[in-house]
Amino acid sequence: MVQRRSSDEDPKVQTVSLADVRLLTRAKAGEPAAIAEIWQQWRNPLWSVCRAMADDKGGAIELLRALYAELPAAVRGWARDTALCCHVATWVFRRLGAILELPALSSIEAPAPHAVEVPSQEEAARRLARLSPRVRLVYLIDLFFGCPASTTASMLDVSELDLRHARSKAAWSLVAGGAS
Amino acid sequence: MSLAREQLLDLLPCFVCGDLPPDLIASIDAAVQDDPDLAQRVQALHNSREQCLELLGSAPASFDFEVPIHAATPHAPSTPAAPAVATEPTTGPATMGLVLGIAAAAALLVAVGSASTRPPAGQVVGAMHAAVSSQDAALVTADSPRELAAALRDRGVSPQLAMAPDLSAMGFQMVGASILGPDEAGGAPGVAVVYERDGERFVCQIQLARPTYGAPDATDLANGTVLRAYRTDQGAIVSWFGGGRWCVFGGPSEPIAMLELVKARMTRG
Repeated sequence: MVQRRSSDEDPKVQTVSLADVRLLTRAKAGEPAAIAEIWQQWRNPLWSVCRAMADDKGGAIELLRALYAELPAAVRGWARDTALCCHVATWVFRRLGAILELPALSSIEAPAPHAVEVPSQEEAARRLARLSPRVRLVYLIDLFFGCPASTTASMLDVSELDLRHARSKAAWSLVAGGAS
Repeated sequence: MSLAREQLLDLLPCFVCGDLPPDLIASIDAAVQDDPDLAQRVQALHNSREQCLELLGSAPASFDFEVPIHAATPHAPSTPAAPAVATEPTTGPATMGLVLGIAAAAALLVAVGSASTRPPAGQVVGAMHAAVSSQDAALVTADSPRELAAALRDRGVSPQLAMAPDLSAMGFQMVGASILGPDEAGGAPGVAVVYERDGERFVCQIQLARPTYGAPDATDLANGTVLRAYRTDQGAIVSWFGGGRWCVFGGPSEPIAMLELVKARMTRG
């Protein structure tokens, strides 16, 4: 897991828990139980992201199945000095982006709405579905994995500002008051 | 640091998810205290995050492509079978299924071997609650539930777990929280928030793995959610599943009393 901020230091410095380092070391060595443990830790958030990115439940299961199959190979390339949540977040971002053939993250405007409201559950689902897939994916990986934008941007080699704007665009779209 | 309103609005979504430097968070916090519109926006952004977490729920218990849940047992690597298959260059789903299946079988053997000595479910969780709620337990503390949730996020707790329910309306004073490792929380991370009421301590535990097993001492329904109560050495715990997470509330009360307490909170807020 990652500590988002280290209060007295450079805000971009992150710390990685010893438990994560140990788990990742075992997983990188190919230990099946360690890979299974990583899967078990993250399968619910992964499912949630797949569910929100796919057209239906069947599509979500196919996406999750692909991630499940690729996890053992993916962990081999994960550095021990980076938090697991960031590895999982960026891996999902890349893989789902490729599988769903999403366009590259671009620079977008994210103005705050004039008024805000919390929509009903049904309306929230509609608004989430209306977001462009790339913006939706940015919002979801932040929501479910909590990796700092600076780390995500650096690992994905994208602009941190673009990531933050995409996150803001999604967040404001979900709460925009009146007609959205 | 003083920020223009437009800058504040730009930063609010990142403020809500806790992804800003401490000095900016402090500036925005101060501005939000003085500006009802900003406060409303922060609340709406926060609520919509919670709503999305709720909306997207958690995965079904298993998929046909997954090996049985026992394979995820974190202690399986100590079994002899694991190292032998660990060196195989595996990439495909079928191969992964095979190696995890072997680990699962080994884990299952260990589990079967120790099943007869397993203590009642409530006692295991109750003992952990006693430890985290003891007077000398080292807890993450904050002045409000929201600040405590932010402090947990700062310490690496995922947003799905970094929460501290506000139970002040029921007379519970928040004391602090403990971050639970997989060993304490059934094989996946968790959080235990400690409260005090009338000099007695209660624990609200949130985690991804199922915390209890076996037959409960009592059950009830609240808004369609099954509540399971288990007796502990200290009193009782109640567990339930909601919003993609398992929750446990425990304290020095009888199972029925604890069920009523949780049900009241879930049905009346």
